[in-house]
Amino acid sequence: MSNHINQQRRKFIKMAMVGGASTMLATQNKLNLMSSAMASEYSTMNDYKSLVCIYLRGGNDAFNMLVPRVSSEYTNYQKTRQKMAIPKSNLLPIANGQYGFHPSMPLIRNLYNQQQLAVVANTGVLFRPTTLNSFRNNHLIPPDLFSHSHQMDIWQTGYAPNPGIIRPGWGGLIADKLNSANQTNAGIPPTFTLSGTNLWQTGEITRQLGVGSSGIKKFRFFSEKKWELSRRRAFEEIMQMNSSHPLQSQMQHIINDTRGRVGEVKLALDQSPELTSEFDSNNRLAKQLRMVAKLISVREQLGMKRQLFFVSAGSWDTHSNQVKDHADLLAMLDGGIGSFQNSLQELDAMGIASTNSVTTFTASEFGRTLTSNGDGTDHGWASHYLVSGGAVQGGLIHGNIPAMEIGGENDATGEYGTPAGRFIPEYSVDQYGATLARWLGVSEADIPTIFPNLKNFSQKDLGFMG
Amino acid sequence: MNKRSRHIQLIFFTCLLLISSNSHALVCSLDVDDNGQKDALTDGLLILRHLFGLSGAALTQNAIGANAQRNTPRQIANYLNTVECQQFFDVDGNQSTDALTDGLIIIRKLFGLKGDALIKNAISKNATRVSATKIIEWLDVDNRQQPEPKPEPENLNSADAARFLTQATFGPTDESINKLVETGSYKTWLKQQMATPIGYQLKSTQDYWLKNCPLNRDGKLINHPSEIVDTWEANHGRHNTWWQSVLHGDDQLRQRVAFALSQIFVVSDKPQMLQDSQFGMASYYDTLLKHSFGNYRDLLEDVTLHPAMGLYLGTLRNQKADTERNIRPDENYAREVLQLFSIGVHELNINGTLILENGQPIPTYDQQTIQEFSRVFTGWNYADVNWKTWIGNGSRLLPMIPNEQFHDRNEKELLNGAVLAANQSARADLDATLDNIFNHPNVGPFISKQLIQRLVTSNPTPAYVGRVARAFNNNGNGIRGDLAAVVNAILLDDEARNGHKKIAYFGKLKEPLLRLTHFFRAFDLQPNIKEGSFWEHVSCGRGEYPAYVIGHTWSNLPKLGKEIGQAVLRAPSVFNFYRPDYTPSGMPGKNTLVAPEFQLATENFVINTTNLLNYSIYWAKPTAGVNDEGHSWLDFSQVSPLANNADNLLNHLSRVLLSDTMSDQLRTIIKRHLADPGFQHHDNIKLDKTRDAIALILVSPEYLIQQ
Repeated sequence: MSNHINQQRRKFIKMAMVGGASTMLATQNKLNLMSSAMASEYSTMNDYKSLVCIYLRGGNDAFNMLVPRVSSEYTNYQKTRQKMAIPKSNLLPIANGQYGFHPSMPLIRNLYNQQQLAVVANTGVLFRPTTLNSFRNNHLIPPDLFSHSHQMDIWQTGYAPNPGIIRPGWGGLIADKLNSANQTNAGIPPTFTLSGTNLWQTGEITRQLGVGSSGIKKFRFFSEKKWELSRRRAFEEIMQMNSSHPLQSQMQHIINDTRGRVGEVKLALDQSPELTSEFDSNNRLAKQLRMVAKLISVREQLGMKRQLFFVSAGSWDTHSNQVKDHADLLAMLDGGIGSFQNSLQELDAMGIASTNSVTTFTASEFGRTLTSNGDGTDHGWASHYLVSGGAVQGGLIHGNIPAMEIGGENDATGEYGTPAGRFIPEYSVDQYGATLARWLGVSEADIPTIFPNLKNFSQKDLGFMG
Repeated sequence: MNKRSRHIQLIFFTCLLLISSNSHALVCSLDVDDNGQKDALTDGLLILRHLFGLSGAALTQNAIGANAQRNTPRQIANYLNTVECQQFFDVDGNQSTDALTDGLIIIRKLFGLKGDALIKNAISKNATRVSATKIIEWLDVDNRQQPEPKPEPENLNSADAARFLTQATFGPTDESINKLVETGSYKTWLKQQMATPIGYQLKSTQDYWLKNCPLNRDGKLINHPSEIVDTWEANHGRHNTWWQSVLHGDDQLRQRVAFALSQIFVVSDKPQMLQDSQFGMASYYDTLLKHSFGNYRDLLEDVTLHPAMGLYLGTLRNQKADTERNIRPDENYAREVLQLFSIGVHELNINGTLILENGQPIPTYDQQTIQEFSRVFTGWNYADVNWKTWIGNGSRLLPMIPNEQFHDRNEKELLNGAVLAANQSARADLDATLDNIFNHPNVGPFISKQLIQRLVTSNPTPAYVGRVARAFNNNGNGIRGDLAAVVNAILLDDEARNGHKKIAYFGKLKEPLLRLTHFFRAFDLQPNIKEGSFWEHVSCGRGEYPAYVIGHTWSNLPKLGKEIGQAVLRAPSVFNFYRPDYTPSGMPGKNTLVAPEFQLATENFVINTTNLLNYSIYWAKPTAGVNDEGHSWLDFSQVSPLANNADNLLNHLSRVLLSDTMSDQLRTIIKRHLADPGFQHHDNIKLDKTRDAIALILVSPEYLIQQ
């Protein structure tokens, strides 16, 4: 985006501050128009594609999710993980038996074998290619490593957080660009969250739309009953009042936005086709992914060509009781992804979307230590991520699984006394995200504006999307 | 100096005095190391060295007094470089600060010199203050700037009272407004509130259980509370107790502060291990209630040793390293106690702003520190586990106790270079470590700012944070960490009382639970008569505990939390329901303002909360609960008679819901509707008008943003 446009935007925002809510709304529209005009290259998109982010809050232990089975490596792993090591015979082998998924992941293993799922290994928050040496010299190392909130922010935005300053997330910036591919008249954004406000979907312009696992309700104020018309009018007038108070006008703006968006979405969902694919109603992720499938099923009614969904589940911060808890969590992930891929086949049969048009990927602020604390693991850095869908170069592990070696060349905490197996990632989240964005159709020119650290990496695409 | 600049200086000086006499504004004091004393050989030396241009260790070496609050070179330099100090140190008034004039005079003054001995050969040529008298007068200014009692407003009216009570309680009521106006003094009210008996939660949660489900694990009648088995089902009683306390408890201030603390010292019953510890959760909340006006250091200790926290963040049964098996201590509590409960990740000025070095924030600790702290928090277990056994279940109510066998006894390095000697007991290590955290200069601003955000405003000015942090650092009697002093400082501050008139962005979005409690208190929500609770209790030990019934609204308790996004001690993670630095997108002025509660303002939460309030309004009964014993009810009987006259009605509603600040515009809109010729009604017209007026106010930005 040019400086000129940025200046314009700032001007608009300034005007909005002075003028209160109605100006604010007008401003939003202008900004939308502006972005549409600028991004006209996207307005001719004809096909449908969407990304689904499964965020695992707390830091997924990738080293127990995917374990080397080759004997020397397994021995090293076992020696370190001790009681928490997954017994070799329980692992679900992939890649000619060199590696194995956690036993809780049979559906994911099947998808992998069907080349519908890939592993992106040894990836994490990085500003530039990093070695133990550059780490020791503190050369462009992400600040506040190992802190949940900070690493989550950098994962989702590419920037270190700075209170009071919004760094939009890369999902939101993609949405800012691709918004013009969609033909929606109710201000419905490409970004839907099933799991509350998140930075990933926060755009410069785009404000994510929050839906519950069971859909969305109507505002009670909007009865069409004749005797309620006067009250409704009063409500509308309150929502058009001018306030010079930024918090008041922001809240008013949100309620106004909500009214417009929710009506359309609810109407579409009420008429959505029945989905017969089974989703376990006790599975927190599956419940959200079921609603994602429902929302995709009405994407034509909503005028959507490009969408970005966000689902998430917490409790991945397995400092204790990891053996049982992590098994349960991975089973939840397995059930969620398995059911979701099934429902995409169902949508495919209806001609609405296909497994090829929807790509699902996992995210988590960091991996965990290879060493343990007895019954859990602590905050690490490099992790493995999963990408599923028909468009994925599946049945492959992209990147290199690090050696199960404590205190080796990639062990970042060698600096801090006893090494703990906090591995420096090989690939950055920027590379991971850019690969997904390119598949979604973001232009080569726009990609560097979305991923601030990509310029520091020579490999701009990790190749897992073909 | 020309006339004009002298004039400006005079204005500056006058302002300085005005500010200082009214509040605890940042004024420069000669007590540079902030230890409560002005000494030549510490404070004087620091100023002199600073004026000679020294920095780093050369600035502070052997010049920091005992018990200094400001003690690092950076803190001292930051302080000395403030505009206020630069002005103040120009002792002879020549528009420049010089070591051999101003510095010399200051150190002489601190040595007690007077008259000619004070100023001899130390007045510059173009000085504007040349006599010893003038100089002493100038230097003694800061003596008058000690915190002074804040004058009470002469006429504390009902609008002032309602605003105050919106910040200090779960919502003003007719009765509480009248009482405060009658008392005529915020200070007296605060004092009375702090002396009000504490509405503890555990006993009431247990009583609720005994009343409704008096069976022990074997299905036999419970004879004694000790036979109660902790269980998920007791969450019903825990929530009922909380609602009872916040809606009807007399200790409103304490309940509100404890609720704020529960969003800083977060424990959540979302994880499995705490779901089944509902009495443990109630007991944890009691810990917060107990220390709400106590000392932060005691709070930190009791929080650290509470088994609910021990389970939540892993201190319970955390053990020393076993290098043979590559096992290290759990780092969870070590990290979060520093990041979230005490000092945060970056060094702060006393006013809560970041200290920058080359434009970058300075980390308060690194991974090494976390590893050292993780070794401190080893060797703690349930209090009632057999001392020989490390495993086994234990009490969720009793503070954890040490088991030395599992404690790491090696030397450990703490914050600011402090070292714990080897071979200390778990208890001694813990005490020294909590002292080390407690005395870090960040704690005052870090905790104060978040408490201000929870009670008063999302974006306090740095000066406001600084004033409260000073109260944290010293309650006026030399005591650090006195939370009563902090709460007083927060609520009595001029910014809290008058910020809405002066600051365009003052206030905060009411979080979902406060949005409900304010309304429920204003119209005296009563538990249903049949159950004596807000929620219906239908089966015992194995079924559902489903219903909250407000009016005819049916839903269940876990669902309520899910629908509005918030329930007490049920945050999604230790990072609470929202983050203190959250800024919504599209926010005007977004580059400076934060608005944490907006993190919950998603479409579904906004709709659900609004709908829930509407249901409660439209099903409220005109008269107290008659023929409706199965339902909790709101009472509009006091207010609906006023609906004969729209202005009377709106005046009353504005008083309890909007602190008497209903805008003319809002009033005009609602009046137009109430006078609509097509206005239809089901029950009686006054009640329906009352309902509509309330519903429209509750959805207005004026209600949603607490100012």
